[in-house]
Amino acid sequence: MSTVTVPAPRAGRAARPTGSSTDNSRLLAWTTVNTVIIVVSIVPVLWLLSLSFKTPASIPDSHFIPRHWTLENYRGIFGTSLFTRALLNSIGIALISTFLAVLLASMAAYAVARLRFPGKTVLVGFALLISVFPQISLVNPLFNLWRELGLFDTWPGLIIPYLTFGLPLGIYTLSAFFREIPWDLEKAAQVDGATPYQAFVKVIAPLAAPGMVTTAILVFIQCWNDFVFAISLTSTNRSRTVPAAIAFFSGASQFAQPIGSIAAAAVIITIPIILFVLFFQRRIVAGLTSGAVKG
Amino acid sequence: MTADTEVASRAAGRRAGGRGTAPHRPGGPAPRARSWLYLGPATISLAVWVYGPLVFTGVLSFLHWNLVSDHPSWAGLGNYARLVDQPEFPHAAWHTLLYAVGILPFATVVPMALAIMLWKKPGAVSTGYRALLFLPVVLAPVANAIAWQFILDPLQGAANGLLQDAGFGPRNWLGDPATALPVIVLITAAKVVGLNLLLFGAALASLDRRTLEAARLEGATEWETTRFVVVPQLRRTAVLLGLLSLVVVWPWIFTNVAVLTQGGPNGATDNVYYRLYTYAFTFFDAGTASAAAIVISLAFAVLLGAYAVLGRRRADPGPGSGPAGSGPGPAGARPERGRSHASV
Repeated sequence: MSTVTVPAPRAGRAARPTGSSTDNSRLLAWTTVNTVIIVVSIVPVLWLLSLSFKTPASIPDSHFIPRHWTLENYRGIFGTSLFTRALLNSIGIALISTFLAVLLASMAAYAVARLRFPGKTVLVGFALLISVFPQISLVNPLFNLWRELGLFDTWPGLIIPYLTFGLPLGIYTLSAFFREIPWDLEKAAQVDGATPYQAFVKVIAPLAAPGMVTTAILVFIQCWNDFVFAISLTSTNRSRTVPAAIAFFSGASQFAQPIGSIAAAAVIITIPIILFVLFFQRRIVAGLTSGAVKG
Repeated sequence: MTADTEVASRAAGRRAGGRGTAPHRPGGPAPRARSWLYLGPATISLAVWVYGPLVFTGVLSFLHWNLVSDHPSWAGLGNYARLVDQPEFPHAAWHTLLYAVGILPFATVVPMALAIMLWKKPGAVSTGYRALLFLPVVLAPVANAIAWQFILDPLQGAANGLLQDAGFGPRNWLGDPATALPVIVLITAAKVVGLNLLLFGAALASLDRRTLEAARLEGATEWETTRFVVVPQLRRTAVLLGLLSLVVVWPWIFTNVAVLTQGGPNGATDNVYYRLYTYAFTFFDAGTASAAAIVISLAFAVLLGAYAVLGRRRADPGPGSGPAGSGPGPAGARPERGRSHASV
């Protein structure tokens, strides 16, 4: 604990700014900026939540706290196969893509982190290039290819691009994590009489697990949130995920929008995200700042 | 130095000694074969499903092909010529530039100022604030877009309700060419600010707080300390994050445009990203869409090239020059020896 002795009259532990008038006006400006930022960041979610509990008649009023509460919107969307099927598609596609991406990325990251081989730089460079690659450039060729191959509007048709765009994210994050693992412990355990299997399961796996969980969360979020591929490579309920379904209902319908239902659907896809933020924020941030970029 | 990309460099700072011993090889197949065993599946997936289609796009861009015709015909540079000749694409490109200019402050100055503020006053409030701003980073872009659609709805939206309460007339925010693009920029900005706040935070975490104390001891005010001690050390990070944001922001803008305006009103919110989508899925014109894809990819390559060059050159002053671009993977475009990684 280092106590700073600053020759200022009100120097507290953290050397607070002295309250001059410029500081005050700056404070005011800051408060304004911060308010705007918080509003833009938080209001959308709160507003969706509010709308999703409103009765159709009370939706146009701009009261944040609904005057007439209802669960009808949620009952409604879970009563139609349109939404439940889309939710199933979202969950299934995101989980499978995440599993495959983390599996393949772990193997690759292991090699990147531990082995020397020629062409490593080039290889990793090309892999990482994809993480910023304009996905939209791939949408059209994939659309044409998928129609030829019969993959259009199927689960694999989305899993493949999600997997490939999850890979660079995974390789990058995992190789950063893997580099921090004291691999010598593996040998040490074997010297102490553990079998290679035991050494891996009891020593290395627990050390690698946090990184893999973090990576899985990041990749899952990326797949779960994807919109570009979802609207381009699906056309029916067979494989349409919730983000695509939401856009489909809100943008394309000629009749009055079922605002309450759409809001409820948007709330449902936000729930896992909120849970991640609540329970894994620190990890996600560590993963994002060490590696990936697409939230 | 070993062959390393920035991926490799993250750990370097922490355990500089560990690197020499890293490639240890227990028994088994020869190292090279072993490497490819591990790398094979990922590499092949990427080659087949990303680089393959990209080459396919390149080929398509020289063909006339739509959904109806079975046999694509040779177009030469016709598709590219059409991009330039018709007003839509240059218009979209111009608006893409407007988006970029609009997004830049939210990618650099705003999150930097916020990050410095939070860094200077750590505590429960800062932590809570950070958590609030983190939500948009991971929120589904489509949920964000749909929320704003409801809020800004000219007839039923809350925004106009509030405006009327305050005595202003209603506005059609997204239907007015003058306000549509700025609105899209603003609602996309939340995500950019949140993400870059984290990355600036990571950069700040590795900044030496003693420089601050020294400045204070010299009698510098809080503002002077920030302006002349902290900000200069973040300048490099800001440049890199600015470039990086211009690379990654488009899918988010695309989502907002697709949900909220479909490029309208009158092309006001159009951009090359959305235009490409229109070519491909409204007109089913694979040739023109592919030409647009190639043009966009080249533009990205230029941005990434700038990123790589800046990332390397500015790193030269040595480790004291503050944390580098702190993280985001895409730097991997080129091997970046200079980049260090701020770890949280």
